[in-house]
Amino acid sequence: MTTTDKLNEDLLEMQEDTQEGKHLTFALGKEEYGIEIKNVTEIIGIQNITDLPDMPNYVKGVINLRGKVIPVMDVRLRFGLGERAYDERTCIIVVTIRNSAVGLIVDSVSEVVDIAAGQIEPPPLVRGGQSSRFVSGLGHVDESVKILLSISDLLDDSELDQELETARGEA
Amino acid sequence: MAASKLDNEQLELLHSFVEEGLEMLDEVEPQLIELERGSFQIEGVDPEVLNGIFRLFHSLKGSAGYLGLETINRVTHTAETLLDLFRKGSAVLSSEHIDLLIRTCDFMRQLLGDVNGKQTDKGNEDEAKKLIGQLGQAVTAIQQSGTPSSAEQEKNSKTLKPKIVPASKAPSEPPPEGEEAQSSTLHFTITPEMAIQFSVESQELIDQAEQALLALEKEPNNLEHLSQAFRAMHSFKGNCGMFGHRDLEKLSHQSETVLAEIKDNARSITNDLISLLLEILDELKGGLRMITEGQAAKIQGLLGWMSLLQDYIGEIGVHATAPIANAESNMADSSGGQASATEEAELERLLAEVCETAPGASTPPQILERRQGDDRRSGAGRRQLDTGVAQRQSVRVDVEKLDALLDLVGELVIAEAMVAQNPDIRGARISLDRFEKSVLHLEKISRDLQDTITSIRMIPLSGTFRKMIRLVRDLSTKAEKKIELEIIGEETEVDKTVIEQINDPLVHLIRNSIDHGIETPDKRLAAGKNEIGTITLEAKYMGSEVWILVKDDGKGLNREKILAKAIERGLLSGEGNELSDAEVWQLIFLPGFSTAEKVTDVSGRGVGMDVVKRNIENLRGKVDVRCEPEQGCVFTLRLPLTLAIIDGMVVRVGQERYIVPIVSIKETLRPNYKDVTQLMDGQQIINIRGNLIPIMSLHEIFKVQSEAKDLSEGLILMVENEGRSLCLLVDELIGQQQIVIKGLSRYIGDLQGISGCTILGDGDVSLIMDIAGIFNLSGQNKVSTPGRDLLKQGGRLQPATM
Repeated sequence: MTTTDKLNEDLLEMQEDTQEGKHLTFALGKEEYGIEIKNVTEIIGIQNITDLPDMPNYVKGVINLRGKVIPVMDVRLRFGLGERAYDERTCIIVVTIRNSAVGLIVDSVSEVVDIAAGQIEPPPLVRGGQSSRFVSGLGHVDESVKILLSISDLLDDSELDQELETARGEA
Repeated sequence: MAASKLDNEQLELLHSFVEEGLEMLDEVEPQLIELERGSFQIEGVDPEVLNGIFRLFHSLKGSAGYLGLETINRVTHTAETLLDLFRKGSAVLSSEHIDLLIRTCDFMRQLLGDVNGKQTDKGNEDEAKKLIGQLGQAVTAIQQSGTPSSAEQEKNSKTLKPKIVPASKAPSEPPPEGEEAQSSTLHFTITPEMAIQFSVESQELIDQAEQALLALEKEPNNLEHLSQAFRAMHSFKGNCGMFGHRDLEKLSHQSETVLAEIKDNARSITNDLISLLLEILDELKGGLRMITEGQAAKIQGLLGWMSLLQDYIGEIGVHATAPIANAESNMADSSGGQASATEEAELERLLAEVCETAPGASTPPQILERRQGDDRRSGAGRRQLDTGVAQRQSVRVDVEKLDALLDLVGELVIAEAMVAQNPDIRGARISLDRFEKSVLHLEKISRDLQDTITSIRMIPLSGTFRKMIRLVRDLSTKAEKKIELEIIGEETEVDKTVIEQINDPLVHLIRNSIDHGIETPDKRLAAGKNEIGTITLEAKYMGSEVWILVKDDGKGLNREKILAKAIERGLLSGEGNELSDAEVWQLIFLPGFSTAEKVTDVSGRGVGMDVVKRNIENLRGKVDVRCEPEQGCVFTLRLPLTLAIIDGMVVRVGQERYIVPIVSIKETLRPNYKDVTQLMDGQQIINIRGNLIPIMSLHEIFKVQSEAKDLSEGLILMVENEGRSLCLLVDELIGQQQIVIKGLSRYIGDLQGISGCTILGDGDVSLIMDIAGIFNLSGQNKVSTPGRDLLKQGGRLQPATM
């Protein structure tokens, strides 16, 4: 958990003005993803998750975050990447958007990197697949490429509503 | 009061004036509407109501005049003149007049709003002129016609038959004032709570004034103390005026005037005057005590006190309201504001009283002596009574602090569970007797704490409900429909947060009923209904919930129209034929839904019902719709009684734990095979003492893995909702505990069968079951269709339907 602790410290130290261009990177499988730091509240280890009925499979349930109950989403399942058992490297990234907190379950968190606007390319639309709509851009960091995600698209409520409809319709 | 020199104190005065004014308007409006309705009745208009309304305008006028708010002053003056005519019985009130008065109230609101924002009522002159003109016309019309029943008025009074105000005295004489009016006010609008509030507040104000005066005695030139005394006296006067305690009002008004004179003329106060004012405060306290004891407040030797004060005003010398020479007659001017015939009568009464109670005591010092003598004699008794009044005290607290306290109590309950169920202790192989005892004690304290904090936050719904009277009146007139509003259970108390959030939903539901529910009179007659539609607003306690029902006897919801509209708006894919009625009704709560064929200015923008649902959900409540075509609609707002903590049973199903509210549980039992009948589709029905009740497995409802696949391995919880029963199969009962309700994230939204969640002693999150929702689920679930039929028949199996 040392990575997590260090990252949390970084998060605490960071002020509004220094957040520009900063991204938190995490891994799903062999790819690295990045989200803007300004949405990230903290990173916690995997917790006991309480199941919710009638939710799409990627909404794993709710957890207790120091007295607050927040929903958690398995990002793998959200992208249709296939399930993977949680282990000690599995993390929950707590993001806050429009005043409500949601936890994102990822394989592991990596680091905070600077990715300037100039290093970000728009996502090439080749396959037009379902999950590519979450991609806000591709960021060059040294030799590697990080897939940058748009949190608000990831947590898009209207889409959840639709999926809920279907999930409940099938039920 | 020129707008240029507004210091803080004047601002404060203005604000308190605005607040008082708005409160008074809130009071008066339902009365006006009541009056309108009352004129249907044979006995005619209630003179007490008229007096009440008259007093409102009178007090407003007085304060506005003092504060230099000319527009308000002029409008209220004209309205007062008009009302006085009715009060004296020289004219009857028509619906036209009531309309005019209601518009005046509206205008006053607008003016008060301006005063609050801009510290002036200027800028509304045109409108004021128009209104004053109309009021004036009404006045002249009455004065000219002399008698009430002129042809013009017949024409004006659309639906109302004017009734002559029963003047209790001959028309030439002034109407009853003083005691009669006082006691009657106490009867008809002032609730016991208000009276208590009044006496507590007034006591505080007197104490404030006393302290300020005492401080002033030490530093006669300290303006701060002087202002404080003035403010306290001013507020006290206002309170007394509002509650119709005339003697107190007069005496405090005069004291206020003296203080104002000193302040305005930058005089320093003399010790003699301070002593006099303190004596007066004692008198006022005496008056308050009478009120607390349920008597009308009277000040003995009022006139003496008044003239003593008047002398001081004279001594200060600058522009007293009237020359000092004739102290007796100018009393009326300076005390009651506007001198009138009624004031003179009052004065006579007072004079008579002075002569009666203190024979020959025409000079104030003698009265003083007498009073002092009284004090000495009854001194001990008085002290005791003083403390008696002070015992019932209240503190005004910031709502934020109350909210914080409530949150803390919630945390405490969770922490308590964490301690009591701590695995470190439970795992230890030692005797836990003493520990258990302490835990029990702790539980009791925290429960008491919760009860107290909950009760602190409870407020009756009456205020919110009464506001709807006006709404219904206005909207029904606008929609040209005849509608009566019936209010039931307005005394029902709910949490403060509910009061804040419930207003908008009620407004929208009532608008909806008026606009879309209740038909026009001719359509109603054609349908064989009473021409006058009824909307019923009802509040009641149901188990752990408060239900607020908005019921109308209109045409009900139209399934086809709703479906068509939902499809048109893209809110529904497919034909919607498979949807149950209940599901169709829920469609109207979707954002952007509206079935009104024409968009009216009251509803039909398609936002209202959306607001209803959202506000109610914010309160962790639910909205149920029941509807009979042509018979009307009932919207039931189901709100949790406590927003925070309930008693719950923790049950286990597989790995998951759920909370079932204790109030819903009727009994628990271990099922016996011989009592269970299985229908062809797998639905199981259990026979409990002759009642056939369907069984639902929680693991099926919530789709979780369960150990108790078989009935005999589980436990059955019989739950009840609205008279229907259902058996829930669970793996195990873990125990009963207090549950702090937390909302599920907005991201998740509304879950069928779940009302919220909580954090258990071990830190895990557990879902709280919504039993009514489970019943709905059981009704919709195709697997349990026979179960639904059973439910409909109150749990009785009818073989014919198989």
